[in-house]
Amino acid sequence: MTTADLAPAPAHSRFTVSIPAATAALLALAILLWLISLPAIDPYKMTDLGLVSVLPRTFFLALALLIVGFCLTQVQDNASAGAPAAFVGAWIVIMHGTPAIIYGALRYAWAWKHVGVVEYIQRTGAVDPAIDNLPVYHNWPGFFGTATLFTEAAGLDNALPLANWAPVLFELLFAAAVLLVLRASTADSRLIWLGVWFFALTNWVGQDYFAPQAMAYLFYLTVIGICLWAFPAHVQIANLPIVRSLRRVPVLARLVAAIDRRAAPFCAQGIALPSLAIAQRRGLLAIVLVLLAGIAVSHQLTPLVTILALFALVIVGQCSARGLPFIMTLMTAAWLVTGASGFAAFGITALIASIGRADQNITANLIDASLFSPGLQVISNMARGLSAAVGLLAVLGWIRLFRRGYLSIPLTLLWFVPLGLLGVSGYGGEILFRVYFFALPFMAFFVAALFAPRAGAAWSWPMPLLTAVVSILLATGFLFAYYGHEQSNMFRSGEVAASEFLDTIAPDGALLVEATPNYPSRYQRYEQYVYIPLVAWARGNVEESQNAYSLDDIDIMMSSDTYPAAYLVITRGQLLELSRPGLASIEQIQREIEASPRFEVIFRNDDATIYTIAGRGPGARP
Amino acid sequence: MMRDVSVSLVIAGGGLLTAFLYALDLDSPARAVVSLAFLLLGPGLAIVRLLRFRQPLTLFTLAVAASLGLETVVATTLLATGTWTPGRALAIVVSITVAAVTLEITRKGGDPLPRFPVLPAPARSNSTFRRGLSDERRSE
Repeated sequence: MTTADLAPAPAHSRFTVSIPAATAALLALAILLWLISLPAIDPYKMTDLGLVSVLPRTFFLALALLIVGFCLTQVQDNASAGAPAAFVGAWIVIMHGTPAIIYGALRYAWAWKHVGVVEYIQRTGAVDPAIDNLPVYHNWPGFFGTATLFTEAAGLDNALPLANWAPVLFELLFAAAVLLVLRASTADSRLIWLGVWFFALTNWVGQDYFAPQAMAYLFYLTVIGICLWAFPAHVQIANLPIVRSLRRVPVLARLVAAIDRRAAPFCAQGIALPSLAIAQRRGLLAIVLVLLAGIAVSHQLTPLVTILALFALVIVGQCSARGLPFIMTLMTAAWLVTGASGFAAFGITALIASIGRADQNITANLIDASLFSPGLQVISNMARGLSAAVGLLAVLGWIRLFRRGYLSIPLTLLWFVPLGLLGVSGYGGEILFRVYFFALPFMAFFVAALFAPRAGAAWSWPMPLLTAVVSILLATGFLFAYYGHEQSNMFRSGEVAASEFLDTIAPDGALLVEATPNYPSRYQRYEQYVYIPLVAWARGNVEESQNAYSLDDIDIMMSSDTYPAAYLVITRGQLLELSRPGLASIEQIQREIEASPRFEVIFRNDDATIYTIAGRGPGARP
Repeated sequence: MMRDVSVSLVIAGGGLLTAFLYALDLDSPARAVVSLAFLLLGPGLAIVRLLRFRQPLTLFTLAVAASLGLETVVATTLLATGTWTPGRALAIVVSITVAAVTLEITRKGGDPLPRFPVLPAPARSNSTFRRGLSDERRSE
């Protein structure tokens, strides 16, 4: 302390509040309000609008304070990275940590199944690429191997605690990786942090759970960030071989000139990146190679996007590491014919068709929404609206930058590269949301450009206010789109109890007939059971989303000597996942089963019922 | 410089402690905390520090990505060759970490990686915000 510290403040400042103090107070208050909200949330009372239906007012107030506080941090010029980072971090912990704290059981059925693959490796010490059940994961085991290492090294019985917190961890890492990408793209710290903010606010697609695609996405963003940072190149578009012939057409020549005029100043102000020493670039290249290998052995879709992105950057002269796209193609192909050969044998078409089903998620939204309850229709519209809004704001931001004389060629390319997925995959509506997911970091940058001032200028009224208002709108969309399916994504203790009961009585080779796979299943000894869902795909077309079996069919399946025992599982979460006709079809068959003397109930609570064939008994005989 | 060496020692020590706790098969929450923190950050941090990069958030991002990437490659190699045991995977990861730390401590210093550039602050007329900010600075 110096005497200056003790001197009285000048009179005129007595009524002004300093921004850092105000933002710190807002942050603390927001976190306090969130903590107060937690005990008031009863997830068992959720309606078909999802988590938002049970959140108390204090929770929304906490979010509003975070939004205002974040915008305030950006009013300052060159605020340190600490303040905006704290708000983005708090936002992610609140948004993604809440279910982990209040649900009491792991959220999302596929996360349970991924825990089951880790349990398989824990128990057997191997993967089996020729396995019948969930073979994709055994052919791309990278994520599961790493998760098993974490589980075993930490001395955990299973990966459930890791999976519970995976969304928080992955979302924080995604935001950190987006920060790397944007820091390598511009020196305007406001543009960077607004970009990270809008990314965190609009990443509703739900690819952050305990799954290979989440880790692969982190690797992808980090690779892109390092390429833009350590291996930038700025070839004039006019000098590219492909473009040279086009320049004979006057309109195109003018367009090319306009692009080059704008790309140059952007590179100059943005990538005034200090050049790195050769040894440092080699080191970063080594990290990139490890990450590319990690992508190739972990996931099926991400290598494709990575290859497209690297080729795009190299072909348009934006990346000086010209060998990378070829190396990545080679790595992907090498893994396909070695580690994943069990799977590649089906042929590349079947492989690509399987990508969607292999890691299905909550995002199958383009199906006929009118078949679902009114709440789920609202959710579906919110998700579409949010995606469209982000796309529109990004286009407007891109135009604003362009009119100011700036054009970022790499970020524009990376925004549109994921559209290439549309050409290679036939799995319906879901691929659109994967495209959104991969394009989002780059769209978020252009959304930021819509609200940020000219580089280096002050952020003056009314833009901070407008940013806060738009943030509130986007966050509202997020709350519905991301947490809209929570009624069926959250599992009650009764559903977990049913699964545990099954696991204690079912002998190896038992048949598990299930309404849908949407319950906490396949997380222990998963490969030792045979699973037959009555509904092929709860969110598929009308045929796929309804019960396909008659009472006699089920009787014959479950009486078969092929299985030492057979059980039929119907749970709350399964029913909530169904469309209205699908639900009617399952309720119909359940009434028939209840009335039939051929079936008996061996387990029942409020949330789940397990039937077996009368006389076959629990843990039945051969 | 002393501080740098102590960070290196914490990383290497974390790795060795993780391996030690695994060998003891100790059942305790402390083991989970130490092991998970090390696996998430340690190996990558040891490698990224070789590049002499110091900007905190980006250092953290690179370190976590490099850790997970390295562990994925190690685990997948062991699984694909049918030689997987968690102990072996851990031993390889800890060895690489200790090797990187040793290299970092023993070699002569190179240039640190430069920080990402930030545009200079604009010249601004006095606004309420500005005044508030300068008061804050004055009191520092």
